Amino acid sequence: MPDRADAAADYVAVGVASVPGALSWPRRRASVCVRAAPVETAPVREVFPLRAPAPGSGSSGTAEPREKPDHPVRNRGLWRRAALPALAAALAAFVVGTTYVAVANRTDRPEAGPDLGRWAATGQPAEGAGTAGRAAGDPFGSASVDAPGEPTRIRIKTIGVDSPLETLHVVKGTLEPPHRFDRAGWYADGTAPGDTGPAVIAGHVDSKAGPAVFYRLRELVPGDKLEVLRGGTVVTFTVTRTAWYPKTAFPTGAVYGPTPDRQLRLITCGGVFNHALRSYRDNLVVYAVAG
Amino acid sequence: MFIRTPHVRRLSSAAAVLAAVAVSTLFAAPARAAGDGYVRLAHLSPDTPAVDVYLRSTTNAIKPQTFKGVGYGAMSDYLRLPTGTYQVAMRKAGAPASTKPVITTQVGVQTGGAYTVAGVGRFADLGLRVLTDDLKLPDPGKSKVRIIQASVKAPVLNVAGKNGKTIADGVPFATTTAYREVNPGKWSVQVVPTGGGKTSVLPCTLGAGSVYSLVVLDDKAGGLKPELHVDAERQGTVPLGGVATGDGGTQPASPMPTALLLASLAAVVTGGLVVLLRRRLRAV
Repeated sequence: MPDRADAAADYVAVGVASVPGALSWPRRRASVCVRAAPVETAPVREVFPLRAPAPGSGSSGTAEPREKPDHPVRNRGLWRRAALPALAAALAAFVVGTTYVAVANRTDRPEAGPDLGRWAATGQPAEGAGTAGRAAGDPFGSASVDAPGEPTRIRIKTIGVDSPLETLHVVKGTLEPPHRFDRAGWYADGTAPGDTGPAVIAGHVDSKAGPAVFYRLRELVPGDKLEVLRGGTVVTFTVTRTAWYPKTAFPTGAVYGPTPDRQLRLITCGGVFNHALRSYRDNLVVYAVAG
Repeated sequence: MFIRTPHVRRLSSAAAVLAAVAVSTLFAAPARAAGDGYVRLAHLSPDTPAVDVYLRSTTNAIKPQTFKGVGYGAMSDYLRLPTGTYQVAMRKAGAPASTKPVITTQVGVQTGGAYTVAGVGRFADLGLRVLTDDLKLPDPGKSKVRIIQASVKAPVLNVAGKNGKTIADGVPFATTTAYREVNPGKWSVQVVPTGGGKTSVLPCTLGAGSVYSLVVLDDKAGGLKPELHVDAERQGTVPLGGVATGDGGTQPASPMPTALLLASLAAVVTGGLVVLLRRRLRAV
């Protein structure tokens, strides 16, 4: 009698939930009834094979326990069904994404090499960064004559720069960049180019549209000449060295520190461009000394 | 097996030579161009007559230079010199270059270094001293100053502002103090001989971020003559950090958005395909 009751319960349960309950073991006997729900028999036996046979008391409590195991099994089936497509999708996404990035980077590289432009035409740069020329005047008793007036223009023939100068100031502690992309600017609260000390001229490397005034600054090498116009007189500087610094480790002392002679620093950006911050990681600093 | 050992040896030696040449051309030229330092020359010996100062590089990095008739109290501007060792010699003014110098010394110039080579002391025990000049940026809003004591008439002296701010105490003749950070602005520097004697006052203005040497000399009238020399100079506040000079227009656009789009497309298509395929298979 209890067996029959179980079988009946099974029948109902299978038909409704398509899932076995605590009483799966007696099911073999109940196979008669299974006809009504033939589809789901196989998983039933497989999933709970070790389930102890229900005692006689089962009949009343069967409905409830049966409901619980319901979901995990159904979910597991879902997972299993979803696993393969998900895996395939993830794999495809990975392959396509990385391939695109690799291809994009490779095609970008050759275009992004502007450094050749200058070397292709000219030969070796002049050597001896302004050391010989400076000793011409007698260092004893020389009263250094400062050029009059504000600096108005910078010319660097080797890289085709000829730009009027904006005036730049310190805003919130840092030196503001020039307002226009096609113009360089000089740090007007600091040393003027041609006076004793470290004068600073900054210019953009590029705008959103393309190259800006100091785009080719990276091509400068020690020995290159540059000119700053001051009130009708031309002050000539000679590049002594160039250096790249991460903006996070900018050498304030070396760039803005006091100097015993008339010096000039040209500053622009470079290095890795951070698309999220719309900012370059590095600053390029070109050091030059008068003469 | 096909290449005999002598060939291999010759090849490898050739490769070694090539590598050596490559290395030397790669690194030698920048190393030579990279370093510069500063040297200035001074005559700070009160009873020593004028001298001719000779400067030459031991490695011939520069042409030898001669500065004629340098008298007591004279201090040159800084000469910018390539790194290396230099010899400084002093001869009596007008003495031929072939004669034996009165004194000589050597100064090793390092990259970014600054040195004052000065003849100091009495003529009887005249020496050439190499002072290392620290031209580094002082702390924000400060000036740096040091005392070079070249007065034999006031063998020991104190230096202070008129407001009582001490710059240096008990500086003996022929010595140099370390740089000391002081507030910039207008100063009335008082130089007081500790052994009694006339106090000298030097009004001067110190700039923030600049570096000075106060040279105390003997006056011809028997007093003191303090002189302020600018070692290194700058103007204005010191900006912090770098400059934002670029908007990235010459940089390739980031491939990430497109890559992500393509990847998600691929995921959807492939997932769909797999599902479809399986249904088809199951249906069959």
